[in-house]
Amino acid sequence: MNQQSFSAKIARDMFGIQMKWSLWFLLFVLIAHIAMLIISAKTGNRVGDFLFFSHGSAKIYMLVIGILSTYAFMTFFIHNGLTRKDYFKGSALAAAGIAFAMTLIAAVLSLIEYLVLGVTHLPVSLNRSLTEIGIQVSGNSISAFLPKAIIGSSILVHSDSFMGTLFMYILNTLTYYVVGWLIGAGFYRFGWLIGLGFVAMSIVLVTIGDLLWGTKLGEPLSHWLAFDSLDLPLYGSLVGTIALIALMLWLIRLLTRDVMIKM
Amino acid sequence: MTFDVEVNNLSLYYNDFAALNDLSFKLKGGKIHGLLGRNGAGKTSLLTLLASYRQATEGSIKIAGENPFENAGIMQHVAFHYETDYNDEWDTVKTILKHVERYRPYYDRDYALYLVNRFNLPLKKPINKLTRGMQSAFEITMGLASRAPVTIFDEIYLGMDAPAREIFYKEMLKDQAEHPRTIILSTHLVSEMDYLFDEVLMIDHGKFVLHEDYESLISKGASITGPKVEVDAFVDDLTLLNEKYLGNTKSVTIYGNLDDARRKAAQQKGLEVGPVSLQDLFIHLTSEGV
Repeated sequence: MNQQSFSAKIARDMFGIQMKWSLWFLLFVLIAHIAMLIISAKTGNRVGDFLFFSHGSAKIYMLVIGILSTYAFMTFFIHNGLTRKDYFKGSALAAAGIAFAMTLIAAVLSLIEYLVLGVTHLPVSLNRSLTEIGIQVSGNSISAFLPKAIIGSSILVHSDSFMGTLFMYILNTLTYYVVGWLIGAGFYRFGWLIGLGFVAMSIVLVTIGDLLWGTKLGEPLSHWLAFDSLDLPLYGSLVGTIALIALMLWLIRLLTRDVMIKM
Repeated sequence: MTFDVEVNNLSLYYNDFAALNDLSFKLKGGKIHGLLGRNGAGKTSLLTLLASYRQATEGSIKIAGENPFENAGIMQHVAFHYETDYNDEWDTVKTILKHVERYRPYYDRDYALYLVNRFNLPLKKPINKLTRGMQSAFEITMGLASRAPVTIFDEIYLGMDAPAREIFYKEMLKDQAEHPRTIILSTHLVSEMDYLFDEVLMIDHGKFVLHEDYESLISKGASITGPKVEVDAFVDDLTLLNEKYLGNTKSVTIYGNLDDARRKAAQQKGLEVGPVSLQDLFIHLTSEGV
């Protein structure tokens, strides 16, 4: 059996398992979102559509399953006679697939949402371009309880094209997955102390990732740096994010190419 | 398919500590090799290197003539099974076996199910709910059913009771007869498993002690049984490994070849000459100060 088919097999298997987790995740977010819609219908507060609503938590979710990757999958695959290289290729492909599939599902759910609300004329006003003010207004919404870094970095704030939004959703969730994978690989290879260094590095990488999409820096950072936001054209954000992902993948490969497998 | 395993000047250092020190040996394909060594002798370190779980500090490993590390063509044919921590494994026996089937080219599904039955493993229970012994039996099931050309079992019987271990030995010998592969068994249970080995590799403190086929190894010593006085006189100038008394009868295990003349002399004196046990040899060769 050649190497190509091994990494493709790993990609398929990891996609299958992680997609099962992801469907559960999306189901819970959907339930929370429906609850928000009901509250919104009663109070008249505006609420983001599903794509917007799910974006913040989807990033955190991707971060978590990214962290799990080395521990849950690498040991298992090596135990079954596969190489670290095939694991790396397979899981990178699977991660891209998960980001793509989650975006697609979130988009379809959003479209259904618009359709249902349009047909039923429920007193809910959806908003696809929630601004910072919008978030403050919806005082009793979940977003008020989430850190600004999560909800405020929503790419959808800056987007006006639906296709552009989908692209950004994919790249953003993928970035968080790869950040998690990098943290997990750092812990796997070096243990907890140096692993914490990877957490620190990841905070920087995540901040860069968010800056690329025009998010303002949080309070402490904006005091330290000369600027508090970047204003890039869309293609700049796209290229920047892809370069960031590539850099992190390269680091992950360096960390795992000859790593000792835990028993 | 069988693969030879060749190790040349292999060393592994943990900082300054030499876990393995300049090991060289060649394991012939298609045989069962017993890897013997005391606690901390470096057995597991050696096996993790053979399984590409880590890289050696110095020296080389060749499996089927190739360096196995990150070599997909070799690694898929090397199965390494050990006491695995399954506390976080919520998948069932059935699910995991399905995954193994996807990645092991010679995996035999019917044989795996046969072993699951032999060990009385529940197919649909999460692995972390199985007893320690059942988890070991599950590792064995994966290891044997994969029929990997190089199959390594590191102290795999932990937690298994005597009848279950007996099933393991029997099934392994049976399957090995039909599908020969290179099996490496590391063990403490020398007296229980010695009959399984075609060849024995012994290491101590990370260093090579010996590598011989089982028959010629146990002919390196003998047990002499008979009346106490006669036995004492006979073994006077030999290296003793072990002594046992029963009334006036004494049984002594000696180390060193007994030539034909001596064997005859023993028989003429009415002494019984038997084989030495691998266990006695193992203790002798790896005890401190030797």
